Amino acid sequence: MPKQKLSPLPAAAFQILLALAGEDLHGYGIMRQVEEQTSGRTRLGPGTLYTSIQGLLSEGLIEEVAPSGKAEPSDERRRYYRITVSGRKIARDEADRLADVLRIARAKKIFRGDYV
Amino acid sequence: MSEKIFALLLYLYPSQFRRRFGEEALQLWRDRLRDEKGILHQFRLWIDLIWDLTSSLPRAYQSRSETLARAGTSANALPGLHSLETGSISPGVFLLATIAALFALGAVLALSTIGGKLRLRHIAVTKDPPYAHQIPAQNPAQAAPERIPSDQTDATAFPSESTMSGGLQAPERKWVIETAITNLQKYYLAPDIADQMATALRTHEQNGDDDVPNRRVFARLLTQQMQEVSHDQHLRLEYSAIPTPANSGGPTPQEIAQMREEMKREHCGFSKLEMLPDSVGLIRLDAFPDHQVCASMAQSAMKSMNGARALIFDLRANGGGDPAMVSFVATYLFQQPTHLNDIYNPRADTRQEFWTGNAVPGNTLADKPVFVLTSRSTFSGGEEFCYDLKMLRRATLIGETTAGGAHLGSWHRLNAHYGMGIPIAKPVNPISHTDWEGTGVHPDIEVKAADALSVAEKLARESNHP
Repeated sequence: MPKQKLSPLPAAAFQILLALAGEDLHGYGIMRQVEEQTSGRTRLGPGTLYTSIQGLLSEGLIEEVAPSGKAEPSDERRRYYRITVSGRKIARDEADRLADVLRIARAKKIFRGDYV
Repeated sequence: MSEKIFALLLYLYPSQFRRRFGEEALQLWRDRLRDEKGILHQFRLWIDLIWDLTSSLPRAYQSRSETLARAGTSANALPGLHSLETGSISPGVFLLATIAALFALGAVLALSTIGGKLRLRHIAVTKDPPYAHQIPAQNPAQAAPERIPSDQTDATAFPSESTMSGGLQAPERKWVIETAITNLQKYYLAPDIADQMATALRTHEQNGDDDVPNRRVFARLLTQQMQEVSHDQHLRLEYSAIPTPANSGGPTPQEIAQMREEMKREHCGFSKLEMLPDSVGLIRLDAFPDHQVCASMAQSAMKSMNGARALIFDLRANGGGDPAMVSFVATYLFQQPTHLNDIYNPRADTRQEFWTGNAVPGNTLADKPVFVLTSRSTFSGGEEFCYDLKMLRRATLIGETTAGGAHLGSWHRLNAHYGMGIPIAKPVNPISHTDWEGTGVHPDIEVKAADALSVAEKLARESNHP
């Protein structure tokens, strides 16, 4: 049951999957991308980032890839990560789940007689 | 120096983790040191690091033991026996852990001493609206839809969790359709149309039009079938994969807090507040959220527009919301309480009046020209704002004819996974004695939604008002 460990998907892992949905990134790139996509609310520290990456790697939701052509020579220490097909699926499921939560919130709100 | 400290701190993590990610983490730290210059940024960097250590360390060890435990079970070892690392903890790690613990203790002590002196930023919560014609708070028992005996049906007739785990089958479809019909015939504001919808839903089912395995698609199909007959865009049936709670006595405090947080993040729908050249104020409002949550946000938004010689409301993406919020925002556009709208419930034969409140002290907008931008997507409560102001000749509407949804409804839970929005009431404008259901609100100046702002800006600048 490989899904069990990351179920429910922790917020940091979800953000990392979202960051990688656009392009392959190294750790620092992921951190910056997450910061950007959450409007600065989430800065993943190195420990959180790499323990999450470790979990995602072992569950097969992301994989390590060779640096892209644009990588600078000083990048040799950096490793690049890519989202896998099952990673995309898990991210999509999580997004669906959040959409459901939103729907419930909306449903609750209209109990007070709003425009539905 | 700080790089060395960081490298040392890395020894707190399991050796396996350090070997695999140590170099990368170090590189990340260097990158941040390079990019985040200045005392404040450096300070933030260290705070981030300490916070990160406290939250990620336990996880790093937990994930290691989980991996080991799983390795054990896969080799048919006894379940429940977690094998731990056999090597003893090295003195270096022990020393570092001690230092870190002392550091954390110091931080806690320091925080607890200065904590009392720090003023917590007061989170804006609901204040009483600044108007006297308070909309009577709805009695929750009254506002909440009458409970359909869904819980009984849950148990006796249909869908229990277990039967709903597979694909969608005929008995479940039939149950949902019949329960939806019962609710329509009991609550929908026009009984004759409810009967027509019942016939249509049953015919579609008999024709096999609903034979889809996916519940979400099924719910969408039923919504379409009901709307084909009624043309009522507020009428819909939804499926939620997550079970919705059975209590319909209104949201729990926790849910209200969550909603507040959500609304605050979304600025209560005020997605843009801008003073354009020549003191033309622009307010882009994408919703009229619960006024009990968003009154103070609306107050400060409207206050920020004081000094504008003309006001543009951009409602092109407004999806509607709470009629009380419509009145609340409109209050700033009138010198005295003004009758905006009535809401009529035909089945109960009750009518609720909506007025703007008393003039807001310090508000300078009551006599300024107002322009409202509309689009085909402006919906529901957004349309009410347009319609009310148009009828009172208080605003010039610029853009496209709006979506045409006027009805108000309540949510009916069919069971843990299905629910439907059923319109139970409709607006009756005190001037036109009708509403905009199906027709939409026609703009005074018809232009493409994309061009509406530039047209409005031009008119606002030309408007000659004291």
